[in-house]
Amino acid sequence: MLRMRAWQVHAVVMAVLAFVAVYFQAYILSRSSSGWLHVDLVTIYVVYVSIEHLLFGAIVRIFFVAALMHMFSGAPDGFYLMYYLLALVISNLVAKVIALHKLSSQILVFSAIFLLKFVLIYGSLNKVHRVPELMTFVLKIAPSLIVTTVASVPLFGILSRLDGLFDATARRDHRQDLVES
Amino acid sequence: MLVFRRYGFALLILCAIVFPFAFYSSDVSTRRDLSFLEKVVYTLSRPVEFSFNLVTHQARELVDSYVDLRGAREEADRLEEENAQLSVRMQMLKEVERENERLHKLLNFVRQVNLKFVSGHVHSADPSFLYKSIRMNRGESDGVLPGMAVVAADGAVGVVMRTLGTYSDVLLLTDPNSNLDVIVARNRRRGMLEGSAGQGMLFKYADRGSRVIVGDEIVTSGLTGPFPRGIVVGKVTKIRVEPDGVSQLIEVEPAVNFAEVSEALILLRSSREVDVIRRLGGVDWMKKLVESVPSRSGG
Repeated sequence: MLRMRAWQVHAVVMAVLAFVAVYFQAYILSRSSSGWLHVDLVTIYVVYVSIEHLLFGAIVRIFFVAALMHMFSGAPDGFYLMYYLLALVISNLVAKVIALHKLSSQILVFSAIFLLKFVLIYGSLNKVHRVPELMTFVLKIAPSLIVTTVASVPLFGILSRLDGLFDATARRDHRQDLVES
Repeated sequence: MLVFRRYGFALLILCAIVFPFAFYSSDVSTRRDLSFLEKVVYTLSRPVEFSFNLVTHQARELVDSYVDLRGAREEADRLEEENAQLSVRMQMLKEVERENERLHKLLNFVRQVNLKFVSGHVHSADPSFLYKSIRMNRGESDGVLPGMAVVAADGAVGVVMRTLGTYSDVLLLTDPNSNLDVIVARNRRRGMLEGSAGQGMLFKYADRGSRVIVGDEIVTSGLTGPFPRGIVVGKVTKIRVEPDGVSQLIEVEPAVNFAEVSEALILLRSSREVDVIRRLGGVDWMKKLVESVPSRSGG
């Protein structure tokens, strides 16, 4: 019988979570006209993966999510890869300086990374000379930014607990391997 | 692997610095075709897509049927009355149509060809929340090609941006990268309608001396782009004079509520310019040209 190791199951679960986050965002959240429902689940996922997972795994997942997002979006080519790479680097650098388990620091870092997306979009609109008035743009993005930052804290906790489950399973796998050998 | 562990993060920092420079200094736009990696990811995601399609479609049907049942009796009465009025109007319009045909013959007007279309459901929207596109359940297999116009019952929706087997992505008119050749319905003055990062659109490059007033209806010109003439696009809601005192900023509210569009028609008539290029240069030449154009255009 095929027996999957804990890390393999973990990889599959994280891939499925990425799919669900992107599809939920595209099919349900983005179809709402209210900005207060525009929770950027995918960025929360990317920031979590960047901070909590090993670098190589995080890079693979980020490429995967960026391809998935680009498939749905009218954003210019490479936009999501650029943004998620920057999110990965910034969150890793910040995690080395600030203890990200404190609520205040979490909120600060998350909001900065979410704001970065809008800054990059503003820059890309500027490139095609379609830059909107700054105030209009800020008012437009504010609900999404606030609601994503607020939602990121509990979602970060849920993802962390999910990872904890796999850590426990991995330890059990390891013990079983020792017994068998 | 050891090298990656030691220098991986430093390399990543380098990439994160170089990438934005490359991105902002080049003329990249959205490709019409998906890359190999994206196609692989899309194939892997098909089961999830299928479940989401099923669940969201069923949920929408459920909500719609509940909404439909509420006040169905009153609506039936109202529709009956409206039906009677429309029957009379139709008889009158038949006479107008006959008269119109006679006048067209007299003036040697070229008769507009009948439009062919496919109807489709809207499944999802752009997850970036700022770029504006929707995904419809009609694709290459239904004869849909990039550049075709999409309209809903209330007016113009957008232009097909990319297609795959069974779906197509439509760039909405409100997307910051969208352009459309339009006219003011009241005085036939021509201009360009651009999407913006807000909810509305901007009417720009109006003819000199154009007098546009709040409430003016904006319709497609039919001169360039895939839309036939006279399709409602929106209404002028605000006019502001720019600080230079010469140009004016005209805001247009779309006729279609894009958040509520669940069905739309794709007109199986591509852009006139694209047709000419296809006839003269062939498909390969056109593909190269389309890939080299920096901005996506709806008009």
